[in-house]
Amino acid sequence: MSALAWLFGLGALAIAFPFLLHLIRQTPKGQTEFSSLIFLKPSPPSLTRRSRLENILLLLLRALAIGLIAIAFMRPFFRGQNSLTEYEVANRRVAILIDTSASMRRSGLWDQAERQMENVLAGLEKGDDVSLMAFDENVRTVVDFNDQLNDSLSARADSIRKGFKTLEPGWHRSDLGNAMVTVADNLDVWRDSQRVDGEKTTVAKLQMAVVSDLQKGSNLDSLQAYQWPATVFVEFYSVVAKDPTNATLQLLAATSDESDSGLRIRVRNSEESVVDQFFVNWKNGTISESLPFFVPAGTSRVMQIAPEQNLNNQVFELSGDSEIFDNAYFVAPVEQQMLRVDYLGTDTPDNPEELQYYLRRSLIETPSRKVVTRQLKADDSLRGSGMGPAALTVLTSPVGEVRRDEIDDYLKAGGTLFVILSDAETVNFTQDWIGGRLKAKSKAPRRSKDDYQMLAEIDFSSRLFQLFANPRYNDFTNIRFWNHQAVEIVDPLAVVLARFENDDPAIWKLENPDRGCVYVMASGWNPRQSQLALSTKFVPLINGLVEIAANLPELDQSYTVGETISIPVAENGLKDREIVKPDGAREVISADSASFSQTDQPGIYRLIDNDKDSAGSESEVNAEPRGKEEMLFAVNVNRSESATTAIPLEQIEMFSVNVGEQETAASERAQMRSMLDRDIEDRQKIWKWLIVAAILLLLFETWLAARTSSRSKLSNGETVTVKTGGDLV
Amino acid sequence: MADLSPTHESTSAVRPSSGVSPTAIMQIKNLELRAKIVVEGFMSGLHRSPYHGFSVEFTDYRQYSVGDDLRYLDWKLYAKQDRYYIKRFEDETNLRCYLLVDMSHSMGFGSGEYSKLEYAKTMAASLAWFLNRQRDAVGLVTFGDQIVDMIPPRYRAGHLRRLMLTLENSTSGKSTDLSAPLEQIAQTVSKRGLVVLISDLLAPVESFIKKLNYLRTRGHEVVILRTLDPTEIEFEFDKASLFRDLETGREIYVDPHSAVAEYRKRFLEHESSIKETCDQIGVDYFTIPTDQPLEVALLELLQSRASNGRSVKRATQVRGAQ
Repeated sequence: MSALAWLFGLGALAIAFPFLLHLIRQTPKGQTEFSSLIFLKPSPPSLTRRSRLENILLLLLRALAIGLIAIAFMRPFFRGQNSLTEYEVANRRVAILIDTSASMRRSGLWDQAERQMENVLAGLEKGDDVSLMAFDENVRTVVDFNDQLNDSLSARADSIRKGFKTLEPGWHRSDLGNAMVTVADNLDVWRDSQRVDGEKTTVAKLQMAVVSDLQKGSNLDSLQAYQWPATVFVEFYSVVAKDPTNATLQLLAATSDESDSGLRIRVRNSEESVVDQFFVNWKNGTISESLPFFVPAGTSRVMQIAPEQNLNNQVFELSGDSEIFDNAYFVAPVEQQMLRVDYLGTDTPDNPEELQYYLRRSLIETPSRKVVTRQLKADDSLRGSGMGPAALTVLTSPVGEVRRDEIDDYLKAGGTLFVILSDAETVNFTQDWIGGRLKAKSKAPRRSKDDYQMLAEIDFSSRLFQLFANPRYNDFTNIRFWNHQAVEIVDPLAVVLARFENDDPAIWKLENPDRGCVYVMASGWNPRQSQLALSTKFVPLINGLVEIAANLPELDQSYTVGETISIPVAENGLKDREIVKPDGAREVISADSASFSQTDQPGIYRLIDNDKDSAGSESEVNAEPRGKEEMLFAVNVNRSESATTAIPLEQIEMFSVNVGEQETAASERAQMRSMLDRDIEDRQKIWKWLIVAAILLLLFETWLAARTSSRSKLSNGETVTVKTGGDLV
Repeated sequence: MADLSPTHESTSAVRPSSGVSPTAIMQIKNLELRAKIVVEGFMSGLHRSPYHGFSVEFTDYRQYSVGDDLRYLDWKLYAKQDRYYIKRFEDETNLRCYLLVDMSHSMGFGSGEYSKLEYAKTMAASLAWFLNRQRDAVGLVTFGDQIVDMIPPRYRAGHLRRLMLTLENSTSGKSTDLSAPLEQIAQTVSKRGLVVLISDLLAPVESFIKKLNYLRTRGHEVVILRTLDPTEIEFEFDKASLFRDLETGREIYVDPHSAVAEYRKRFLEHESSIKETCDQIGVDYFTIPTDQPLEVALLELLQSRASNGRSVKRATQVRGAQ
């Protein structure tokens, strides 16, 4: 025997109502208000006879009728042999995704994440499959579905817990979109594979449980172009930091109009911050105090900070907010490189009509390098004078056959030669290197002031002209070339970077794997030949060329955690090198490797070349002009991790993601059972019979009451009010 | 005319036949109008000028001496006798009267159409009106267990109106605690005056008698007008029922038939105790059942004033007569 609505059974409590009435009536009926009772004493109340039950049969009949009605409302039915064994209910396949990005390092979040994971585990049922995955930039499986196929529910939960213990928040940025797409794909593929096996098998419902702080910096781009599978549901278990305040800092590149007075630091405050006052200083710096820096919530400000004298100090620190994971900014100290430019030419350095005068003045000193120009005299050797090879060798006139071999050697060692073809002799002298020869009819008479050439067809994608690619700077039309050498390029390896209007090559590059690199310019820059030296393009062009030749890394480059870093190839190409991470761990880099991707923590990384002794020795001609023991580079937390404001779930739902929880097997089973019960009850309809029985009982009771009443009238012989049901009703 | 002797037996046994019925008076909603009707009815019975006896009264003469104020020279006597006499006066100061009205819950009881509180309010209003008409300064203190409203005695335009409004709007307090208001009055009022306490005094005698004595020692003249419902005096109930204390909310089951004798006995004991103590400390005590005409209260007050002579009058001579 079962019932559809057990709650109606409470209606049977109405049977107790007459008894309650009886009890209430024991207290005196009236109440009189009186000003004061100080002159009164309580009198003992006289007992009435109402505590006695009268007409018990009538009372029982009515109680029975009420009981029957209550049972009828409960909609009772007999379940019989019907059971749910024939219905197979699908279990769930739950993938728990734990966010281990840097923003999860905020205080209290990891504990919350553990609690949320426990919540997910608490919702699991027998038969549910579960796996644990962690994600930041990438997704990795910690506990696989297949690892625990035969385990019980508690054993599965335990293995998930064990897996969680091995996790901890890292320093990488979070790519939530990628993680969701990857896991959804995996789940969907598994589902498809199950379908193939049998036709009517019930396939588990796919559920993803994402435990994350859902910070705004999480990358959701992957979701945009992804068709979310309809069978996969995602439930988000958010963790929320108690203190929403978070600010971060970043070192900006110095602007050209700024003096050397300070470094530019940008401080960004999160949108929900409750604090707007911060301090920025060098870690343990010599600058004793820092002024408060006001950054309203959701904005950023740029401030200047005095440069630190102590070169070993490589960390800026932000104070004022409670979340410290992104409060440090590492800066690799820049060591100034000494570069040498060898000048092969006959002109004097102090003659403003000649080339060298302008070359020397254009090579400016920067924090990262200092250039020394050396004009090679007759007895100077290109091969080295105790200083190693030059970064760049500039050749402006024929320097004699003696030098030819030296230049060949220099090129073979990977050196960079810059040839300026100011006259036909130079073209003839250098034609082995420049990959071209004079055109047959080029007599090149001096042209009049109105007869000039301008640069056309400049290849702004080349490294040399990349600097001028911006439309604000790419106007070369005010540079006029009065005189140039018409050269015909014959070497197929030559790449023309700029041409004159008449299609003659103006600047070209010849890069031969065996012979280094040669840059050629078909005209001089001195006023006699062109206006180049007097234009604003000259200094950046020459300095750019020197930096290309010296292969200097770009300045102020800050890497982020997880980024692959290009490192120079080993000097001798033979020995392995080591990278020392900020925590002291060492990673061996193979000699031929030109990149390093294990940047898993912020800080200063050191590249140590174990073969340092051989570097810079005079006996060896080295292609790398900067033989170094160590190279430092800074790796910082990705800025997106500092955007800690939570993403609204609606934003994720906009990508057609099914947000919600799949129905558990138990609730589905309960629903099915309820439907079944309703069906059985609808067929049996016992309640109708119960109502009929109750009506019959009431009719009998009425008849009985009338009979009792008339009897008592007769026995008393006087008019008495009919007492239906005695005093109890 | 009511018996003016201040005893319970007299007030309860001999009910006045004259005067306007309090039931009729209570039909009037406006308290000020009620007071006016009561006082004017009272006045028409007296046929006396309300100003009589309260103006500057002549007492005797004395010989003029040099330096006396010539304004007080009796020129008529000089004409008759050819001698200089200075008139001496008794300067009767205006009375400062405090009306203390009990607003406790017990005053809310009334077996008839109006409660004791309504009656007490009308009585206070009538007294105030009467005294104001005599150009006396009247003040009002309403209290329950704490002082609810307090208006210092004044005689000025609008004061009576303010007093009436306060009396009308005053909310009732919780329980009767006479000691705190009486003590506060004694402390705050420095000038001696007449204190009229209108209350049912349904509280232990010891709780307030000390404070009354304190008031007396400060020089105040104290009159108690005890307002009681006739049912409270006689305890005439038929049915046994739960009696609920209006102040404490305590409930006890009482059968009136068995309890009436005891009640009356204890009530009389309480009253005689109050009277006895009042006599000792010189406080006038009158019991006024709420079915009595309100003029009785005025008569009681006047009678009290007359019997006490001029205790609050300060005999002073005119400066010029000294």
